[in-house]
This record gives sequence, C-alpha cells and structure tokens, in this order.
Amino acid sequence: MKSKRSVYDSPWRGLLYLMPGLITYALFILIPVVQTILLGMMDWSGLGKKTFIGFQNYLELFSDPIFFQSLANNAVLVFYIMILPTLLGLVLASIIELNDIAFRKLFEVMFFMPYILSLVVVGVIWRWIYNPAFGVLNTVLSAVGLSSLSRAWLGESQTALAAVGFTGTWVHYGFAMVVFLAGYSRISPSLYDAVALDGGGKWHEFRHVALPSLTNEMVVVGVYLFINSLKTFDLVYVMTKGGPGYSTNVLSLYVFRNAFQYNRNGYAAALAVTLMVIIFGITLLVTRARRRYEQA
Amino acid sequence: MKKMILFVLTFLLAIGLVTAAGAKEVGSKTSITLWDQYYRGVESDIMDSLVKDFEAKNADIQIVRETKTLDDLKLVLKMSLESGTGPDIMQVNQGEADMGAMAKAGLLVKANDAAVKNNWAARFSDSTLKAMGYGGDYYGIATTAEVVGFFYNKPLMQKLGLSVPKTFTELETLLERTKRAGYTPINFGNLDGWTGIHEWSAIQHVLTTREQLDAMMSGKPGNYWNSVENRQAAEILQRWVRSGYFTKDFSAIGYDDSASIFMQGDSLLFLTGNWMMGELLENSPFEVGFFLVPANDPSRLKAVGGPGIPFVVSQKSTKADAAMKFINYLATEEAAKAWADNMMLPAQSIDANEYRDAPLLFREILDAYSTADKANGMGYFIDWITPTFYDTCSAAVQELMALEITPEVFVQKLQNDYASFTN
Repeated sequence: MKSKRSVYDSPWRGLLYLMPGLITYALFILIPVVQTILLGMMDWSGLGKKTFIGFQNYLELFSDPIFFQSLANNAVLVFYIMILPTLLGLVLASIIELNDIAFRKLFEVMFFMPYILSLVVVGVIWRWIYNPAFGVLNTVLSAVGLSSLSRAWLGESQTALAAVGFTGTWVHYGFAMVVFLAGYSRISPSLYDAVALDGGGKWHEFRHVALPSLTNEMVVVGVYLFINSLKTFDLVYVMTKGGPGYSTNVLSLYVFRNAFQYNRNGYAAALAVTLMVIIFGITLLVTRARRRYEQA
Repeated sequence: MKKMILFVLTFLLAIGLVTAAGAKEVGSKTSITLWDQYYRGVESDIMDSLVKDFEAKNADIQIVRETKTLDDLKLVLKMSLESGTGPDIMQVNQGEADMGAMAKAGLLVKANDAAVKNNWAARFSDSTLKAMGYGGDYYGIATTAEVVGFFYNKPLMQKLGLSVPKTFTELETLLERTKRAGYTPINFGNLDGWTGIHEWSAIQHVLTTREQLDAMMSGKPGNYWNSVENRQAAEILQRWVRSGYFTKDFSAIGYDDSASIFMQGDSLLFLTGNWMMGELLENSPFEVGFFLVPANDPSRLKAVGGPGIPFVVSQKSTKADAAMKFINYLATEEAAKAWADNMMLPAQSIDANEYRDAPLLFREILDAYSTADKANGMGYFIDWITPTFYDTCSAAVQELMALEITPEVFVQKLQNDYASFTN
C-alpha cells in the first residue's frame, strides 16, 4: 500500500515546530536590530527622507563629550549595580546557608523584596529619602549628630551618581542572593562533612566548597547585572534626569533623548548599536573566560 | 442549515441598511478630526463646549475630537501625518523639534492668509502671534497662555513691611531684606532642571531688549546668546546663590516638593508659571499674590511665557477650509472667555474687571498677563529654540547655580548649542 506523505514525515518538520518562536523572534528582535544597524548609517529626523551617510554618526560619536561622560557614568554604575550587589548577595546567601538562621524565609523575602518593585516606584521612594528638606537620610544624620555629613545628595555632581548607584545596589542585591541560594541547594552536604572531618570551619566551607561550586551562578549573576547596569534608564530618569549637569547621564538616556527629543534618529541608532556591541563583547569575554577556567 | 444562512444574510443586510442610513446622515456634514492634549477634567469640558458651540454655528461641520496626553500626541503625530492617517486639526508644540520639523517637511498648512483675512492681529499681540508660528509664518492659534512670575506670600510680605517691587533694583532690595529677616527670599527646587531655566530666563528677559530676545529666538545664524545682557543675568543668578537667596540645597529638591515647601510659609517668593495657581488656591494656608519680574527700564519689561500649544491644520487634510474655520473660531473673544470663565488664562488679553467674583490671585494673574501682553512684553519659553536646548540649558543652569562654571562659560554653552543647530 502506498502511504501518503504528510508534512509530519517531511524533513522540514523541525522547522515547522520552530516557526512560531522564529516568527516572533524575527518580528520583535531580529528585524528591529537589523533596522537599527541600518538606521545608524542614516541621517534621519523622523520625518521625510533618510540620507545614507555611512559611518558619519559613529565618527561624530567619538568626538562627543556627552557620549564619553555617559559611558564613564555607566562604568561607575557597573560597580554599584553589578559588583556590589554580587558581593552582597554572595555574602548574604552564605550567611543564610552556612548558618542555621532562624526565620530564614523571612530574611530571604525581605532581601528579595526591592527587586520585585517597579524601578519607577523605587526611584520616587529614594528621591524622598534623599530629599534634603524632609528626606529620611539627612534627618537621621542630623538626629545622630552627623549633620555635617548631610548634603543635597541628588543635587551635587560629586554625590548624585553614587546616590543613584546605591539605589541600584539596593534593588539588585536580593536577586543575586536568590540565585546564589539556588546554587547552594545544589551542593552536596557530604562536601561540608568532608571539610568538617578535616577540621575546617565555616570559612573553609565557604572558601573550598561553596565558592568553587558557585562559579556558574556568579557568571549568570555577573552577566545579567552587567547588562542591567549598562541599560539603566528608569532610575536615572526618575531620580535626576541625568543631572545635575550631565553628572548622572547614562547611555540609554542619551539614546532616548536623541531619538525622541532631538529628532536625531540616526545618531540615536548609532549610540544604541555601540551600546549593543559593548554589552555583546564583554558578555562574550566573560563566558569565554569562564570556559577557559573550567577547562583549566 | 439553509434557514440559518438565510437568517445571517438577512441580519447582515439589515445592519448594512441601518449603517448606510447613518452614513448618509454623517455624509451630509463635513467631518473633521481633532487631536488635542486637553485631557484633564475642566480643560476637556471647555474644549467639548467649544466644539459643541462651533458645531451649532456651523451646521455643516462635525468635529470628531480625540484627546491624548502631550507625550502620546508627540509620539504618534509625526508618523501619522506623514502616512496620511493623521487628524485634520491637531496641537503642535512650537519650536524646532515639533512645529519646525513639521513645517520644514511641508506637513502643516500656512495660515498667513487666514490671519490677515480674520484680523488675528487685532485680537493677539504681535509677540503672542509670533510665538504661535514658526520662521515668520503663521500656522495656527493657541487658545490658552502661560506666564511666569513671582507668586508671593502676602502675610509674610506685610509682616516684613515690604511691598511688591516696581523695579529690578527694588526686587534685589526686597530679597536682601527678606534674607536679613531670617526668611528664604526665593523658594526654589532645581532637581528637575527646567525650573532653573525659568529662573535665569526671567532675569534675562528683563535685561534684554525686545529685538535682542526676538533675535535669540529667531533661529537665524548669529552670536545672539553670548550677549552681555545674558552674561549679566547669569552673574546676577550666581550672586543670588552666593547671597543665600534660594532655598537651602535647592539643587536636590524637585518642583512638586518645592511647591509644598513654599506652602509651609517660610519663604517669600516662588517663581513659576500661572499653572501653579489652582494648587496654591486650593492648598496654601495663607493668601498668595502674583507679580511679574520687574525691569529697571520699563521698555524691557518682558515675561517668560507665551501662548500654549497652537492648533494647526494638516497639509494632508482634504477638509482644510472647514478645519481653518474652527481655528478661526478658537481665535474669537468668546472662545477666550470660555477659558477665563473657568479660571484659565486665555491667550488673548482679558480685562480682569470682568471677573470681579473670581479669586484675587486669578485677577492678579490676568492683570499681569494683560500688562505684559499690551506692552508687547510676552517673551518665550526659551528651551524650545533648538531640539537640544532644553537639555543644554537645564544642565548649564545647574552647573551655573552650583558655581561650577562661570557666566562666560554658561552663555558660551548656550551659544554653542544655538550655533550647532542654526549654522
């Protein structure tokens, strides 16, 4: 009997299964990314004709002081949004995991809570906290006799970026902690027993068992928070709008302004592509380094 | 099954007939679409009543009104206009980024003929008309206006034995005496950036001549922004900062917070626009007054502000004549009164005596606007002269008031921004 070939027997069957995801990905990621790359080589105000100008936007970008200041500010935010939360998360997860802490779940929920808040809400709350006239921070400093330390946190170019950055730390350390706690749950208790048999204490458990076992989590947290610190927008927009001056201006905000306020869509696209290349490049380096570390 | 098909077909036919009848009704009128940003309660009601009144007077025209927030309007307008799916009438912000870009792309109908034919010059001052257009051409009409001046704490003014200053020198004396008495002379918060632009610009407006200010806002190439007067305004602002005339730590206080601080009663003046009137009338525990920043030379009296967002007609509209009729209706005195009746400042000067029952603060604002407008002294919101000027100027004022840059550097930053766009 001759069997009728259906689409299920076709070698294209796999592709058929892929289609829904592929179409969605192409529509919302692939095509916009390609369009942005092309737009980065155009001069376009958002109205009328696009003019092809090659790499002119990129050349201009390298002589734009606001671009470099924004990039430097992003680099500072990497410390506050990636490095500090990763360290804090690791320390907190280790304290919770390696000690039998009472009300463990309560602490976990409390520390994780800021991460689930909307960044706009977080920004508004911290604007109140930093408010020099009636904010909690200066009030507490005055109450404990440290009024000489109180200042216009978001209004001074020396402190504004750190103030915004610290808010970022507050938001993200809970996320890092939860990922590390998940990593801890994978570690076999027998390894801790071995450390105990060798006469090691909590520090040895952390140094020789936990730390090497958590490298995957560290890479995940590190890469994720690195990307977050480079695409920071909401916090800065709500708290300082990039000011005072350009002291808290970041790349995403600069992209937004060029695209939606300055009518410089081509330049904004070039900025976005540069940001994408930086994120992609560093992520690639980190994952390669990890692979090498694992092979060694 | 056949019965079912027959039923569905009959139903569809019936719907078709009903809608066709409706379309005929609408079809006898010219229907124009209007997109505006008066979405808030009272403003929206006023617009609705204006539309109704216009339709009653023009039975052959029907207006389909859609409200949007200003941000939404800006976002969709350009693309929809270009693709031909936009409205017939819409509100378009003055300045290079919006009206300028659209006018250059030929998307707006010029209203120069309509302005002459309907004698707009008789109803609006020259400065107001100029501020509603772009590049010397008229495009439409704004119905409301905004004026920036000093709100002041009346009981405190009385307590300190001071009075409303008539000259800039008197203003500086008032600030000095208020400070000496232990109060904050000017309530101020500059975390949001734009408030600082008003602070500097208000001083700049009363130091420059009309011609100088118009040249700065002309969009024509030239060294207008690094003028002596602009530098002097920056020097005065720094002097006021050094003298402690502003709220302590103003750089970290947001605009809304600064309004709350003013209502605590420890500061005398609050420089902002008439839009703050409603909140002050409702929430201030003390009586508040209003006056314009005074000039030493009366011929230089100019107030920051100007008309609201103008209503303009799309070049793609196929009903431009009917649309322009509505624009002309908005320019009538009765349309202006519709706003004033609801304590909104109309773009046309209105006699404050006609509003004797309204709160004194509203009448003082009407008076102040009328004084400036009649003296051709309505100035500008300077931030829209180039698409980047708002950010450049707000950042530069923040640096100026933090005493991080000199007045020379400050005006040069403004000039550089202006030059990069006009050259």
